[in-house]
Amino acid sequence: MINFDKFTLENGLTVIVEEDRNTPLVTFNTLYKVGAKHEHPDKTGLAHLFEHLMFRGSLHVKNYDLELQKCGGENNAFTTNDYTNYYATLPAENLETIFWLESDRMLSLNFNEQNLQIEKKVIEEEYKELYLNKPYGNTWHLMRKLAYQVHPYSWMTIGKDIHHVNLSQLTDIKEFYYKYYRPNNAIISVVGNVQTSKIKYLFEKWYSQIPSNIISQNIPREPEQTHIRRLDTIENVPFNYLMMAWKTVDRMSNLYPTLDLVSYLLGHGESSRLYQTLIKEKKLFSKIECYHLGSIDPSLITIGGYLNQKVNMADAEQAIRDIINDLCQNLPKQDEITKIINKIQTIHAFENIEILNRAQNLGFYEMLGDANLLNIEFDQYLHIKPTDVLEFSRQTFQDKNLNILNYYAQQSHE
Amino acid sequence: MNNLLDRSIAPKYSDLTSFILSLKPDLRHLKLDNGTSVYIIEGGTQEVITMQMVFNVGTIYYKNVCIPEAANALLMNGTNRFKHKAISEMFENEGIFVNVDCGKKFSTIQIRCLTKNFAKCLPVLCEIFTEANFEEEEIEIFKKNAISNITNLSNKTNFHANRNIRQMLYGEQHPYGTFSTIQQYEELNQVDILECYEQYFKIGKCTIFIAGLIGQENLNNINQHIGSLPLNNYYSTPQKLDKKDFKSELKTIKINAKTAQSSIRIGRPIINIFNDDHYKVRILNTLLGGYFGSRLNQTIREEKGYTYGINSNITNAIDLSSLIISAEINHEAVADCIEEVKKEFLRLQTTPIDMDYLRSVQNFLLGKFLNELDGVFNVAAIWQNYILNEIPIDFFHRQVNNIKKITPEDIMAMAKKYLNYEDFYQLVVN
Repeated sequence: MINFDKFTLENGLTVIVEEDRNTPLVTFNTLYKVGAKHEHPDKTGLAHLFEHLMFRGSLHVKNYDLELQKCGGENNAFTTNDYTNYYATLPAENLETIFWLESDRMLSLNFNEQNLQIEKKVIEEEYKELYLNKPYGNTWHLMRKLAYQVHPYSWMTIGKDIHHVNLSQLTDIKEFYYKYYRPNNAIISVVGNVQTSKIKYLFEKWYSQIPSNIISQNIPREPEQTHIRRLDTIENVPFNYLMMAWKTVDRMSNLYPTLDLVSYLLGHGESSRLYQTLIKEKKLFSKIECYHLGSIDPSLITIGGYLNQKVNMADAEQAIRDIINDLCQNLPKQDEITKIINKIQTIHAFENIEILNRAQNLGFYEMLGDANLLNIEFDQYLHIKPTDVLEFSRQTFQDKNLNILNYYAQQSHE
Repeated sequence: MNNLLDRSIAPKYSDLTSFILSLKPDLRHLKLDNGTSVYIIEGGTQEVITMQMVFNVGTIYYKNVCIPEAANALLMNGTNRFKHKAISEMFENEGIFVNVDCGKKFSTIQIRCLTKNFAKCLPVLCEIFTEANFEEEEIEIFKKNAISNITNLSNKTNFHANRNIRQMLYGEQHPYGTFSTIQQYEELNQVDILECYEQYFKIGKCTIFIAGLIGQENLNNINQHIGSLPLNNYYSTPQKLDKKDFKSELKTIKINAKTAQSSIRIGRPIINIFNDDHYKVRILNTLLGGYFGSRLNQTIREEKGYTYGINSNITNAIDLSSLIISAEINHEAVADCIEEVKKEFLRLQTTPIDMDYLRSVQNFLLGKFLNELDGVFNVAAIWQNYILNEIPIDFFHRQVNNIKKITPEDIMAMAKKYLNYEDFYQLVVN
């Protein structure tokens, strides 16, 4: 059980504080409710480019990293399709420094053409390192495009095309900033050796003067998929790769815990169904995974695996379908469900040990609607019955929800 | 109040050189009935436990490095009584997570679970350490999947770069310059794997580290189970870790695939942690490329945009250490990047570090220590490193003090001694 306080400033900034006397440190986590899904389809990659620019100096602070390091802090950030998250951990004694640094970059950035040009180059190298110079690095680019035809989950956070990032202008950046990087679009969580009363005082001091803005959220909805979609591609990789992705529920759906449990049941651990059947018994794949995106808008549950040499793509697909069909036709045993609940309980216990994880989770759940979900969500798993799994599987694993990526290795295709 | 807020003035902060850092909680030592050592780090706020069982066997013990790797990886894959699936389920049903890892000198089996479930892992572990049977079929699947994995990696420039630079530094015959190959996987056989298991796992030397909210009852349980195993502290001496003759070289390798970037590695062997210069060299390395604000990252990434990141690392600091600069970089920028590295070496040798900058590095490093000391599992990891590698306990305080008292002159002296480009091996893979 995580005990926390929550308050909101007049400008709409939401703050969550958890006092923890067992650590000499504090984590300060700022979540902005803006991600790649808020980008224009012709200007993708902006949210992530922006995350980089947040470290290029603000109105009164020339070098964020240096100032934080001076007082013993470490920091980083990441961008997802739904949100952007900045975090720093530092000695609790030096708490006020992070208020100074983070509030200044919410107040205004040092927008500068030269910084933008350099950061574009850095991102181009990031794009090459993470997606191009890596076999199978583009699978998710292809799958997102196939599965989402209208919704902006259609592209990765790095951007649809690296040229989008290259073409972005300082005016786009400024517009993006003043539209989304406002206090009423942010959640800050502070976890560590702090006192809530002191934290309240510091927020009044450093944040209360930052103006809010009206934020409109017009994310296009993905129309319902009506039939199976396939994409074939031939790539310079050593083995065939198969990915099957079904449309599924959003993060706040009451079926979300069942979705999560089903993905574990299929693909988590060496006793899981996919591992035992496809790697051990049938020996069709060398590696296979099952996971879901956990996205705020309707998500995907995917199975992806590397085929063994001489295994035919159609046979591999059929073998996955056999496992799925079994799940849709036969009730799982209660023991199997209990196994997964026990695993999730362990993960949950370990996940909330570190202050950094707790700060990030509190912010994330608050974005979903209530930080306290972090405390109560696990209970929902305890009520999942075999019939719920069967019903969820029948509803989800239908061809009208399915997207298939057949990723052929050049040599084997010739 | 707010109207008077001057944002151009940084709030006051405490300098970390005044902080007292100590390695707490302390550890307790216990000997099981069979002589196995257990190190206990009790603490934390969550009802969880991690246990590491560390065996004295790793890749440096074998010419074919895949043998210990396979023995370690296949421990759970079946005994005379139970199949792989049944063993996995015995752990997974109780929400117990098992990870295996085969390093250079040690192989580790890690258990993570809720305190209330801990006792249930012990009979299964006993079964594994006495009855594992390494069936042919399991070995074949392991081989095939390992070969697939290595084949996939072979298309990446950084895979070749990381291996080749170590071969250049240590020599291809040296255990640190030897890596698993497809041929070695193909040569794996049941006899070798069983022999490795019998010798190093079944009757080998095991050291146990357990951390979390443990309780006396669980310690009794460990003794009852693990304490009755035939473990007898046997371990042989690994292959010799002789240095090859030191002769720097430059090398460019082209791999057989279309590449989007070049992998650069610039490295040299360097003194290990038992040398008096060690901590000064660590700080020098941090300044050079050890964190985001380092000189190289500031120039190559933040000013020039050549790469997503460049860093410099000191690895294997226990025996033969190496300092290696690594970057994945724009093809066109390779020559300029190498020039910048040379320039940075010279600058560090000839211009004293600005006191402000040095102060920020000191605080950054001390802050990192504070982070590493936070929480019982982090502290347990430090203790484990000290005990396994026979590092004296006062090393922790010495290194903290060394960070606190480093001077710009020290940095310059270290740069003159250790950052001469002609002592480095340079590798480009594209």
